Amino acid sequence: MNSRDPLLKAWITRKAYNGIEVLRELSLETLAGRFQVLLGPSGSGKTTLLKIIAGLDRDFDGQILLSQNPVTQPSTRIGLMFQDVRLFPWMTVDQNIRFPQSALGRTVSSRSLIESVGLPAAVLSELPLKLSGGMARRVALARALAGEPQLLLLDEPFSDLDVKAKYSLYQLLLQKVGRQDGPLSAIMVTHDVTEAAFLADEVLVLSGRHPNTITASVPVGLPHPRRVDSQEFAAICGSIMNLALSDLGTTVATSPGGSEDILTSQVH
Amino acid sequence: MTTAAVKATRSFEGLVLRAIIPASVLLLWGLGSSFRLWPTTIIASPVAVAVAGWRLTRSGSLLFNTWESMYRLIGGSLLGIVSGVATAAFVALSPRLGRLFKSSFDFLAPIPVLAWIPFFILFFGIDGARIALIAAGTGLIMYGATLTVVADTKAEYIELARLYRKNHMQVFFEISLPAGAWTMFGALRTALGLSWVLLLASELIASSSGLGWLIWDSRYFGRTDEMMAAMIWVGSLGFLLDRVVAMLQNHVTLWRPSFEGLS
Repeated sequence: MNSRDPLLKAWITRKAYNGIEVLRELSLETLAGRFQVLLGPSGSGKTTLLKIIAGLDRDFDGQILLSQNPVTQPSTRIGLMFQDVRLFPWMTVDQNIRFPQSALGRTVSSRSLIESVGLPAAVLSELPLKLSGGMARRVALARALAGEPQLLLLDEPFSDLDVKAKYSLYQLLLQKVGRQDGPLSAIMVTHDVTEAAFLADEVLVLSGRHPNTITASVPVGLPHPRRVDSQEFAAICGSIMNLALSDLGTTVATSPGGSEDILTSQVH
Repeated sequence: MTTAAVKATRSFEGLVLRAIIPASVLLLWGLGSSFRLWPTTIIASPVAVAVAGWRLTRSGSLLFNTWESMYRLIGGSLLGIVSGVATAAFVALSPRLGRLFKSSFDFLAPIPVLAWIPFFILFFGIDGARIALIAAGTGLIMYGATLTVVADTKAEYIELARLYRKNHMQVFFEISLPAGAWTMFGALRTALGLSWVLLLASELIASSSGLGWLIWDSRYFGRTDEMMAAMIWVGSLGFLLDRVVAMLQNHVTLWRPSFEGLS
């Protein structure tokens, strides 16, 4: 594979549930080391798209290629972090992280994984019941990274976290993803415009009308760490917001002084 | 008050609450016997029952018959648990063969376990029939519970298992069984309760040993005190057995948020 070739190529000509078309004529390319964010309202097929890419949903017309190889079943080269953390409550953190081990055919070092997501090794013997929401997310991320994937799929991973926990996890994700030609790429689904602009190299906007497709792509060229109070950041949030709202025939005004009015904006 | 002190107070309160009814029954029983409200040939006095219990213990009869019963109970229950869970696993994991087998099994399952006694005696002899009876009763309960926990396995967990390419067997042992551990242990407690009933019933019908036989034999010779001592011993053993399984249930399912009651 040429280094300029996309890591992921997805064409979905049609995906339907019970005869209702959810996705149509959707095309997506992800370059190595890039952080893409999918933004769209509830029910726009974002989670469905991630499941298709992960190989969990094969009932669609189209093709998914990862490093030019068709994805026909779940692979350890694609990590997926679900919206609901899905840690097994009866397993310790250690057992949860090592859950993918049998699929990998090798031993997983839960200690190095847990430390790589910023948690102490002492947490390994705990049950998920004892973890805070932020800690549980980190454990789920460690499990998703256990297979050393090339592509990480994140389904609204921060939706129910407080600002501090979110910010801390943003930093963690940016350490791992978003380096051009780096080893790990990510596609994240979110409703949150600010989150999208803060993390993404590219924001992809889903139409929000059935059947859905990607209607716009907004490259976010700002260097990290991004300042949410900068004019440039506010302008990008404004453009994303306007694209997301374009179906309604309305726009939002972006204040030249900052992005305070946009910081809490979400697309529902 | 410190947390430890609050816990100690609650524990003491719990002990007192649990003791109120048995203590009241014992008191009324003792008073009734002292004032001869009923003939001692029908209900022996608490003192007479305690003496009879001591006599049975010293003679070795209680220990011998307890061993005989426990051997049948544990043997039959283990056989029932393993066969019940294994059959359900087979039905759940091999859909096609499972369907073939399940319809026949579901047809036989509603026949009351006690109705199988003559059949079991013909096939396994009298002692084997007791074990087979307990195994059938326990097995049916564990079979139903296992199928329930498999059907109750959360779709989200199954999806996660598919993501990591777990096979049906791994899903069964790593997800369905541990996720349904509370239900499985609940079924086990019910199954052991039923085993106890079936054991005593089978020992009452045809036996020359065991606690059921001891109760029946004492009644036959008019030794009400020994009969009641054996009954209390049977109740205590059943209670202890249930407590042990309940402790195991709580230990294995420590991951579940505990329910403290409505008040």
